[in-house]
Amino acid sequence: MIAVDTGSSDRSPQLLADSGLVDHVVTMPRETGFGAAVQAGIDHLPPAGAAIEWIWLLHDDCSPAPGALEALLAAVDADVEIAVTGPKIRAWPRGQRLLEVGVSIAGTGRRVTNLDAGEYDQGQHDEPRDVLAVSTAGALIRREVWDRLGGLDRRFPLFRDDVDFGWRAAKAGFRVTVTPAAVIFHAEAASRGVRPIANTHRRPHRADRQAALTAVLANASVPAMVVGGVRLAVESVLRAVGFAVGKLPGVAYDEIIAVAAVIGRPDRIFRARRARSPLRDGDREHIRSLRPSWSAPYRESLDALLVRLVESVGELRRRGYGVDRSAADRSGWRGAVGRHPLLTMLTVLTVCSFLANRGLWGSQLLQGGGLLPAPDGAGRWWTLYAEPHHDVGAGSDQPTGAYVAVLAVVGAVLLGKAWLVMDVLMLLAVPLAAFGAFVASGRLVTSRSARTFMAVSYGLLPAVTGAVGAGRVGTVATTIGLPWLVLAGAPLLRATGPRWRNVAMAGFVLSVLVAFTPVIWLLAGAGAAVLVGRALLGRDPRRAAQVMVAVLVPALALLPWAWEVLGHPHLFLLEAGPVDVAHQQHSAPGWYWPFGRVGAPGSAPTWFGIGTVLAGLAALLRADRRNRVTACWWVAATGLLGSVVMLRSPVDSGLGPDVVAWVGVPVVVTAAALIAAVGIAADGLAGSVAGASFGWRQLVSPIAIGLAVLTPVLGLGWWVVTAPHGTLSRAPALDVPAYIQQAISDHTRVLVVGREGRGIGYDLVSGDGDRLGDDSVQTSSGSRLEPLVTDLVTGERTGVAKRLARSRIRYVAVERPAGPGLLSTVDQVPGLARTGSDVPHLEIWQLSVPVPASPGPIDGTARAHRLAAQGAVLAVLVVMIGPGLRRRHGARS
Amino acid sequence: MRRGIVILAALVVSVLAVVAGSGDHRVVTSPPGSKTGPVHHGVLTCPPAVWADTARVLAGSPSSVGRSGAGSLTIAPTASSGARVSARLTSAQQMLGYPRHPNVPLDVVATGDRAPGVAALRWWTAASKTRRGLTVAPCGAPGRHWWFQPVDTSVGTTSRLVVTNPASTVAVVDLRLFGPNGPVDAVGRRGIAIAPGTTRQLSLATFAPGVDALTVGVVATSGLVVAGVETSVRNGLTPSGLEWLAPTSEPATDVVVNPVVRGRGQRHLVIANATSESAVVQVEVLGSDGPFQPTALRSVEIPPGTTVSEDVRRLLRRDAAGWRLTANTRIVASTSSTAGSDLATSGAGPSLEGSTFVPLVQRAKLAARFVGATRRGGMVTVTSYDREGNRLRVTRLAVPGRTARAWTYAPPPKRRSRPPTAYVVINVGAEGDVRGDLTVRSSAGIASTPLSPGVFEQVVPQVVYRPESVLP
Repeated sequence: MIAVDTGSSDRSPQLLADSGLVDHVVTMPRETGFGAAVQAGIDHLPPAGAAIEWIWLLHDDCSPAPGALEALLAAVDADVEIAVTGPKIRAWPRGQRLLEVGVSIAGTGRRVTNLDAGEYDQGQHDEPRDVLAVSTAGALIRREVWDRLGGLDRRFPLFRDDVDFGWRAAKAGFRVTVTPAAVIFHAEAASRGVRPIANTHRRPHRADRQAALTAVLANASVPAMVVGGVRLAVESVLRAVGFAVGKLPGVAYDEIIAVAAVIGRPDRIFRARRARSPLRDGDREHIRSLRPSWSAPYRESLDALLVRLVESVGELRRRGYGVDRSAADRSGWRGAVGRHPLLTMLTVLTVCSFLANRGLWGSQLLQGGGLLPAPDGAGRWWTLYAEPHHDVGAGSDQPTGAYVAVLAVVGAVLLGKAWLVMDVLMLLAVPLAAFGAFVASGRLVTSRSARTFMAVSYGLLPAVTGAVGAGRVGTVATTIGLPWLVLAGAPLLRATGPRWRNVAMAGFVLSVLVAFTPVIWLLAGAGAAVLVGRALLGRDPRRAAQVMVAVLVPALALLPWAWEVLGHPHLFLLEAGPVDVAHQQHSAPGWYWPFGRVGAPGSAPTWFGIGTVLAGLAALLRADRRNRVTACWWVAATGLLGSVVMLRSPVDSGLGPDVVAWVGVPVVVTAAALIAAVGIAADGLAGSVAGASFGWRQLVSPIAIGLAVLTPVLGLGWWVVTAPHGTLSRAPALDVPAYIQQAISDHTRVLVVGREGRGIGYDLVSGDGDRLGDDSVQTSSGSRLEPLVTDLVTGERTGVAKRLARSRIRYVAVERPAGPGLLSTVDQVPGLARTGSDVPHLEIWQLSVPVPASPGPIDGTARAHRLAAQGAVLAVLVVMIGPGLRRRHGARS
Repeated sequence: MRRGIVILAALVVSVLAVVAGSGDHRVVTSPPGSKTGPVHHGVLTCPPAVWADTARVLAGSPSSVGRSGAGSLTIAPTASSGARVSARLTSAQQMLGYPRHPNVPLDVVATGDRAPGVAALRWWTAASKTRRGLTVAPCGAPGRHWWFQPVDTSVGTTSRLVVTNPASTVAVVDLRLFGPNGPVDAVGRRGIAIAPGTTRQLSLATFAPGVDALTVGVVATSGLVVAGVETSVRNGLTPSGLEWLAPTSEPATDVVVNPVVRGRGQRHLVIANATSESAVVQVEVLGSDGPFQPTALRSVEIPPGTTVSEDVRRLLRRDAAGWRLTANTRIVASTSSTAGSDLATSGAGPSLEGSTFVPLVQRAKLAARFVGATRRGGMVTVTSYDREGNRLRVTRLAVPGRTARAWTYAPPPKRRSRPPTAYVVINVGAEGDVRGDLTVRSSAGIASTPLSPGVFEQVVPQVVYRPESVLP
């Protein structure tokens, strides 16, 4: 037995020498690689004789089970063709968890063990079999083979030397097997970071990756090497991105450096391949069968991802989201419902959504009120967001609304189906809002009943159904996202102080909501001001800074649109979707607001919310929850103040008349705060009341709870029975003849003229008409055509056609009823020829002069720079928010 | 205590916010309106001068007098996409004459200061073996309804309906024909298509042959057209008249017919009932001495869709009298007369409130006949100008209510330094309803056409940009 010590700082060599078990103790420098160290030990052996000699390699961090060597020797005795065999390796010190039963390597360099993560040894891998390689920990190697192959390749100082050795043995025609009857326990001290590794310059991942790539490229066939080189380069970049997102920038850096080091020095690869060129006796088909398929590493990655997901869900369940263990002892459907209140609630609300929206399911596009039809695909949202010039209306260079980017991302998730995004958002708004409310309510209350009440009440707020009916996509999206903002912002209140990840998460969620409704930024700013004040009074400047950063994140994450908002404060009061002038006709007075009513077609009746308000007042009576209930009332008051400010600040839409902003969001905040107050007070109320002596509270409590419960119950019934659609409907996207849609697909336009009052209103339609998102880039630039349209409708006959052509207008459409003389007047305009129209309310003229199709060259450099800046900010945010890979990552030695 | 104050403050703030938001804060946005402003663009279409030996378009506008002259006045052949300009007014001139392209319709386009009140007429003469006479045709804006009376398709008379479509899209017209025996339902009178920028001439004898008092209505069912009827009369082999029937007013229950040409020739009052019920028409003569009801023609009964012609030569003698006709249903009325060897007609025209530009036809005498349509008369001021817009003479004429007055242009005494009169501007105050006819008399013949005041103002709708993203 020979022991090799590579730079132990303790008395290990002496202890080994004194033990009497070791024939020689070889001392080597600390930087010595594993292969060199083993070779140094073997060099102390006498020269090989005629008899078959075997070398058994052991690591200092492994421990063979009793009988391991006997089992290995028995295996090689039983089959004389075996040149290398290895044991089954289990976790240190005596674990049942399997680490390896033979090993192979994928084309990506991934070490493949064919074991599931954390798989336990139950004898399922106890069949001896041929493998590509075995770990050097416990490997039994025929000395003749060792000498012929020159031992472990020195190019692999620590990692992947075993795989390379086995692969070379197989190429030389030797059999490598695993003998599961032999067991050793391995600590994997180097890969787990238990001890520093001297010869990897503190970069174990880089060394491992470099070794893996070298092993693949040195041993693969020539075609596989060429293809593999490209594949490894691409995948390494992707892996580096993954590591960066997983908050392992050092590993990402190592990944890039490793692949650069390997591919950048092809001479080393060629030398390694030249050294292996004599090894041609192996059966290539056999070797190929020992290696995993090309897809194996991806399957393993997917498996790992699913395991991670399942673990996350399990973690959520352990935290109590959606599961009530108190109902575990019940049986039947009541027990099932009780155990899964979230699932039950979502099922009921989703079914009710389908019933309540029974007139809104169909093949055409959802639109109406403040909702423009969705584009044909989410790609248009991406294009709209990225392009420097928007061919909308008369053309616009305005930064695209940030909500377009959010919709684009959601659209990409939904396979590019923009219509599906809007259908889900608008028609499933109630269950989606209730889902978020249920999850977020876990931060406030513990009672299943209270959480269900809060969730259903929130989802069925009159403001929610009203926003859906009025097509207010901004309010709908914010209502769905508001509970998640509460969830993300709650850690900022934590006594131990939030982590920066929490700050990033809160800022990110706030950014998403601000993208849809900038007014939420103001409301969040008001709340943040209170928190910052408290933190400073409590001498907690770090928390104050974190809160401020969270609130300021949208300014960077929503670049450059956010700067547009900051530069034009009136934009704070507008929201995603077109400016809706008509909603003023339905706007509700202020006393409706506490009941969650904005005043929109499709809103639930006001009296549904009376119970919540009364219960919210009654909630102030519960002494042990009074602080939190009072905080809720202050939030409600802030929402009401926000509503007043919005109502008293008519907004210049920039596109026409001033409008009173839609107060949906502050009203939702108000109503949500009152619901939270009721939920907090109701949580554990039964025990609190039962424990107190009889008094008036015993009388008030059930009345208040009854009133509160009426809200969701009546709301649900009203919603399903009346099926309020408001102004939403399904209709074709563009109501102009199909041939015109085809003709203007080259970026020319249709001028649509119609009577409005005693005057004339006009619009410019390009492409397939105005779609959701276009509203965010609409500017008043179209108004510069007013003189031209005036000349058109007053009978000007000279130059009108040329001016229309210069504005890239190919068609003029006049809406019926056009009033006296308008059609005849347009008839007289030289250069305009009336053409057919299969749309009854439109008369169409085609321009007979040439119309330029292109808006001309556009410099998009500035836009690209801004998008790059935004992308960088979002990347940092995503990395900060995303789950870390630190726990998972590690190389094996 | 402190906690109670905090709670109370939250509730008070909430209540105050609710109260503050309970008012009606809607922004009332009035829809776009319209305003009346000066005409900044005018287009008149002049009919082609068919059968003409000499033709000329005379155009100008009274509003340019004394103004900066900014704007333009051009004459060009009507075409679908704006043909090359053939004549343009120079900055020093106020009236444009254009002698070319007699056989094609012409567009008179005025912009800027030259647009308000722009007016034009086309006159031509024929002196051939088959046709002889003087014709004056007003240039007008395209319209949907045109009525002509009296149209003669009897033997010896050739009447052609000339319809011009100045637009770039096809126009379709229907004809309504009312003869002495009732409506004429001729084949091909419906759906007559006129190509863009072209003129179509229709012989009315093909629809209603042998009718000496026919009423023709032209209704454009698609597009707008400019229409007129040219009538040529021969007495045996001798040409005895050429007349361009200017349109008369649309059917109404109260019609004032402009005074007939003074003279000794034949005179007829022609009335058509354009409805499907019988008309009883009360006749009143608006003579130079005042109104009276003729005992021989106090009332005329007209069957539905029928045109009647009454010989009124004895009734009027040589007086230039107008007519006021009131009926229980809508009628169309006019008078026709012969003077010398030419025809002249007078129809119902518009009120002359405002200014009317009247160019002087070369080597012809200009006269006008006015009639006070209501009890209250009016003052007519006729101002003559030279070609550069310099005022030469002002003449005032009082037109009593329900009375006809004739006026003949007397040129100012010739002086070597004074340029000749190029046009006159007729101004009528707003106090009364005065109407009138213009008569041009030369060696070639006589022609008359109703006077129409120029359009000085127009209703301009407010145009607003209303993208779909601003939902109304």
